[in-house]
Amino acid sequence: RGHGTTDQDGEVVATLCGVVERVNKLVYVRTLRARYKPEVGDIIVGRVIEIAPKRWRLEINFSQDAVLMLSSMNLPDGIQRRRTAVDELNMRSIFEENDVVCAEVRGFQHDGSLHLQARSQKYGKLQRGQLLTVPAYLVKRRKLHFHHLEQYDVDLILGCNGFIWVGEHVVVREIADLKEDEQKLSAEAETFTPIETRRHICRLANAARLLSALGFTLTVELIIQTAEASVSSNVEINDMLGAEFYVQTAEGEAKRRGDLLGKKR
Amino acid sequence: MGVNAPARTVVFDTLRKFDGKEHRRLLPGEYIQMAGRAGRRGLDTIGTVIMMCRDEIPEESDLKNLLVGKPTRLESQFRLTYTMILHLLRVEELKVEDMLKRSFAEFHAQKDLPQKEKLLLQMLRQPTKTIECIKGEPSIEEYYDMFLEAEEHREFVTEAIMQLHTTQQFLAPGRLVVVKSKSDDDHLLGVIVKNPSATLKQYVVLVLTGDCTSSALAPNLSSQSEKGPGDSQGYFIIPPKGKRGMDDDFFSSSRTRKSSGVINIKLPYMGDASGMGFEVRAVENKEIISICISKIKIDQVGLLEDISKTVYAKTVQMLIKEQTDGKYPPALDAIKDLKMKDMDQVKRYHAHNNLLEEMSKNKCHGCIKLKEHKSMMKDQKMHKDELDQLKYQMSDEALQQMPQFQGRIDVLKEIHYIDSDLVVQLKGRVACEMNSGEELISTECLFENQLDELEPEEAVAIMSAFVFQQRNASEPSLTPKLADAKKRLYDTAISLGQLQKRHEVPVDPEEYARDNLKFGLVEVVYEWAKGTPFADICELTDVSEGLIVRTIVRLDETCREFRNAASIMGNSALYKKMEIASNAIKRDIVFAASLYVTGI
Repeated sequence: RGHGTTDQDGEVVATLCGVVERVNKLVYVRTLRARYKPEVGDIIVGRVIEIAPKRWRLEINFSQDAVLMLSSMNLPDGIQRRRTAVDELNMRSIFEENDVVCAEVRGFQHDGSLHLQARSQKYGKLQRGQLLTVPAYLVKRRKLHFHHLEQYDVDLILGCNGFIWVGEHVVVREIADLKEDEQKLSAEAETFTPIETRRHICRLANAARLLSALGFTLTVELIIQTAEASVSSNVEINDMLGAEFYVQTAEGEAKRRGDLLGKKR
Repeated sequence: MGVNAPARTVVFDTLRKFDGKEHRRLLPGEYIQMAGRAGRRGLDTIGTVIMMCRDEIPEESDLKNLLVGKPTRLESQFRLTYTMILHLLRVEELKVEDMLKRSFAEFHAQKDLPQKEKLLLQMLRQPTKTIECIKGEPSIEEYYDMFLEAEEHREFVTEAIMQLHTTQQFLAPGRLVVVKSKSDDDHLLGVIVKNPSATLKQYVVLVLTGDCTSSALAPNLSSQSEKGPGDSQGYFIIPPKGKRGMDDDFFSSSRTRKSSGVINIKLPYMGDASGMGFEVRAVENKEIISICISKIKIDQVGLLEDISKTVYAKTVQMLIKEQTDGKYPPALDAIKDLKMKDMDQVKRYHAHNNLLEEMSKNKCHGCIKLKEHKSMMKDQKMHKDELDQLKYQMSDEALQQMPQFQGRIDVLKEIHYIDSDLVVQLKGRVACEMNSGEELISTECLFENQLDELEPEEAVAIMSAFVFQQRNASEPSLTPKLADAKKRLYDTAISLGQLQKRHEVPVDPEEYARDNLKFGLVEVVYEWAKGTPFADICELTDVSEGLIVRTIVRLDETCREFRNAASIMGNSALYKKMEIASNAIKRDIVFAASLYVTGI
């Protein structure tokens, strides 16, 4: 007897509409369009909605807001030390409201809300890119959620909660280089993302939107494939969300699945 | 063992101690730890260590070992557990291999890592000399590979040939053989002079070593020979008549005198005759490459005992005659003549012959630069092998724990804790919760619904098997239901042990089950959960009271973990059951915060 089932007069009855899964003797019902169910170790993309004492509250696609503690976040100067009151006052300089943040689920609190941590270089504030929302069940848990697409120089982060980030590539730096980092950052702030990269970002984002509207599970390969198909068919970026390309993509996928089935037989 | 307090003097009462298992002498490492306290830093210049000798003075050798002996070597106690693997797989950031690299067992390998990297870069930077083929495109690599393979086959085949009893018949004196030359290159034609005997276990063979010039470089003629120093010049000094052996000119090459088996020359014996250098040397079995069809007549005595120049000259001439066109006379066919029957050997023999054919078709075969290219290839191959070896050592594959890690990953995949992409599944997540009690057994127990039919009291009694830590407790008397549950749990453990063994994790199923499940306190906990007073349950077993209390306190922790697992699984019945069980055992003296003050 697991999730989505109940015992009625000695019989196990499903309470939800979905697929019955069995693990050894455990029987549970998995719904097809479930809400996001967080697990420890998930990569999450969220938006800051509030700054509370010593923590930030993020909105992720969940029934409750997630909490990112100040101590679970790297300080800008990279030194490992106790967070002081001054640090608390300067929280705003790290993240502000409406910033997009990437973090990892550390655990649950007693009231069920999520506890996040962003201690690695890969986590943190995301800039120069697009955030899109897709239904959470279209993002399956895989080995890798951070993808760096070299041919486009673009970072693609598939958050398990259904928030997808497509943005300019950020070079992950070691803590030792932080001094030069600061100088570079101020220099970079003046330069803008090159136009080609921006086009790629838009194309990939549209590909992701398209696939989510069609209800296909989102994987990096599929997104890249769709984007390349759009380039080869000379579809304009803004036309990608038009009816023609939709049909084309759907047909392509149907063909691919047919081939796969044929190969299996 | 050591007290963290500075002291001026340290006094050893005895040099023996009880370490929980036996009464033994102090180890040098322990002595260093304890005696090192003597002398406060900054306050004392000298620290004093005194050993009290009450009954007798210890032996000098014992003392010496204690004072200057080597302390125990640091050894890594790193144990790779399933919990660790599952936790690490959950996080995208970390790789299990990185964790393995940081353990002490890998300390030495990792310490050398920067040096190895530098060496690797150096080696990669060395320019590889390209072998230039004068005949067009270099096919030296294939040739060299074939050559190596052919060598391998040849060695096997010759060994096999030598062991055949038919070979012995053929290897009589006078048989022509092809012998491997010392310079590892071309092979030399020779004739067997003498078979191995009791005194000399090798074949004595006379080989042609090529032109006179080559022998001019080897002036190591035996000083025992009666000939003068003029022999190396390639002409003959005819000793004056008086000194000439009487028989020299008049005897034919075949003698009637029987050989007495003595070898009067020092081997290897080199010389010149008829424009060709020759050498008499002792060869092993494996140096004989092939046995030729032809035979010549030789005079064993003349060659070895009397050392007559004419005999040598005649033998050499005969050999030269046999060597037609610079090629060797055809070899005995292993299958037809020597009657090689073993399938393996025959296969190899054919393979060897095929390779030889292929090699002769190859461009490189008759090439003059062959020798040079071969040696260059050899160097290159050595270089490549070293490079590969270095890369392997630096890679993940060389970690000591790697095979065990692979085995454990396979086990986890088979029982569906992780999927083939190493993404943690539901069962794996439940296993991560289990900290007290063996993770695999507990998770299987939960997913098999083994605690379903049991009442909360019975369930918690069975769970005590995970936390109880004493082996030789008295056997409890159980109700049939409890006995069934116990058997089921034990069987699960055995099957898990066998599964691990199949995947090469070093685990013995029986031991595994016995180590991780100890059913000694099942009855006690059952009674306690039902509400029996503490005094009564102590009667049921011979385990000490303190251990019972400790076990039940740890059991509460286990109940909490099972409860969390139930909420992950979605099994609400189990959740409630664990709550009830937890409350049932949390009472009275076992959970009293203090034995001396009530009400807290």
